[in-house]
Amino acid sequence: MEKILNIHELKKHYGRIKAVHNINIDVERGQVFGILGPNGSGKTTLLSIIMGIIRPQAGTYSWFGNRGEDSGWKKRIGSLIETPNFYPFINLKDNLRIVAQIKEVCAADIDRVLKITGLYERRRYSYRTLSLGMKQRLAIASVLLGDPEVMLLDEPTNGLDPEGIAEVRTIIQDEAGKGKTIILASHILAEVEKVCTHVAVLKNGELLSKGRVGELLGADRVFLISAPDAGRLEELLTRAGMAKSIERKGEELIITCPDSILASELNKFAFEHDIVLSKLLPVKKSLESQFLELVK
Amino acid sequence: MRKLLNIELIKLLRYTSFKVVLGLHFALFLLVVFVSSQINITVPGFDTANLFRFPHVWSYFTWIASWFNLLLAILVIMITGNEFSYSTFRKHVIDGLSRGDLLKGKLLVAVMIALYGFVLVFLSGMVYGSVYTSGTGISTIFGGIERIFIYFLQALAYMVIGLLLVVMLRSTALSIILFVLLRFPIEPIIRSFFPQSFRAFFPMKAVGSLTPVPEFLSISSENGFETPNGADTLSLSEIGILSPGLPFPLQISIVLAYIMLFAGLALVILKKRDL
Repeated sequence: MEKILNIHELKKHYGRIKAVHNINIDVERGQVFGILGPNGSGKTTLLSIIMGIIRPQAGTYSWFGNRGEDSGWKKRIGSLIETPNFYPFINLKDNLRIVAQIKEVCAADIDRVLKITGLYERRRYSYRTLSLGMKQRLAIASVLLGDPEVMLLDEPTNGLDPEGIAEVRTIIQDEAGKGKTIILASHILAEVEKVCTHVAVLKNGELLSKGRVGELLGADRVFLISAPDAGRLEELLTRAGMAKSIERKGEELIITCPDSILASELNKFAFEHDIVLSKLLPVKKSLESQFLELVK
Repeated sequence: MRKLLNIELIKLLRYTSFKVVLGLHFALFLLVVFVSSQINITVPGFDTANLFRFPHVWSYFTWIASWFNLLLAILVIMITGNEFSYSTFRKHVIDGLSRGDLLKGKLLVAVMIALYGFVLVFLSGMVYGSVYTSGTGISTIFGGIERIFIYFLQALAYMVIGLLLVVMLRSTALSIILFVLLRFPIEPIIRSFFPQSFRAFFPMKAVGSLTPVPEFLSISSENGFETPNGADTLSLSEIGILSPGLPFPLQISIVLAYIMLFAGLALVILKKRDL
């Protein structure tokens, strides 16, 4: 697979605060790469460094195999970092004309992206007349301008209404469907879970975990079991080493198992010990619980 | 370059405050020129209309134009300050401009504004000169016309100082205040600690001296008071009212050096800092 982005040992400290600490990430073509982390975990700082607006103290990054600034690679990336930044006294169309000039994109593409983001009717109004959500839409329009092969989105659904959030998700899924590479930073897990193929989790500037969304989710298997003699089953399972942890709620047990254990094995194990399960339910761990566990 | 020019033009043409300040500059300059042309001092042997005749009109008009250079510097500070307050410098870099491009764009704006000043002084000088002067040759008209080029350089230099301040401070208000205070009293106070021969080398002084006060008395008397050995008894600098400056070529090189130094400093700051 072609490597789109390589981040190597990036570091940026502000005094004693580690905004970004020795982070390594690779993004390959076609991935929808989620960067997850609580507020202040260094997501925006990391993205700002790889777009050249913050200078790292150590480490390197390369886009499309090009190291550093100014080798034309920015024209291939549409990015939205942190907040929409436009000229308040200039209308939407002219604001995008400035972006089109910088990216050397044909001005005819402006109407297309204004239509996608639902701003076409407002194109003659100055930016300052927009609501927060519409400003965010303009920022997304600016990302889409010129149909870039990579999209870098930092909290793209900030300030959007539920409809807007759904639209942004659709846009991301559409672009991903066209084979675009998308890097999406967010603290909203549902957002990442729904669209991403890969995910990296940051906390306090450090990379806690990274991998495929499926892998990260399926690292442990969790089962919900219900049996008449739950107490004995708990003891047996623990003794047999089949469970990492067991949580007991009356008749029900929530069992976290190593990923080699299958539901059928649990059932068989219980039956062999003369316990008949009345309920056996594999529980998919949501990204949220996984995330909360990671950042604990 | 073309691209940077287009981008800056989109911004300037839609920025009302820019148009207002520029219009103010235009109106104030012409107003002062007009009002001063109406003043008639009738002292035998003196005629203020001489100030409006070729070639004196060039030194007189550039001197008047220099009063309003503050407005031009404020323009550049406003425009650049906006980029910081709207975080649009940041967006430009994200979208693909280099930090050098950011500075180049603003220098382009400064050059365009200085060019506007140049054209304004040239056209008004031509109009007034032609009205007041009767039957003059090309050499009289364009004698001393280098003053407009020097004025262009001066306006540019003030704007580059403004640019450096706003890149350093990232605040429009703060930069304007500091710019005004630097001219007076900050730099004069610092200058006073140095011997006379050094003082002309300070930036504000060096730039300001490019358009010296015209020799009102000797111009309006048409140099009628020269002594046989060529000394002008009405020359303000020879009388000692005005302190004699450095020779023009030296002054111009000092200012050119300052322009390059300040633009270079602004570039280093832009490149090193986070946006």
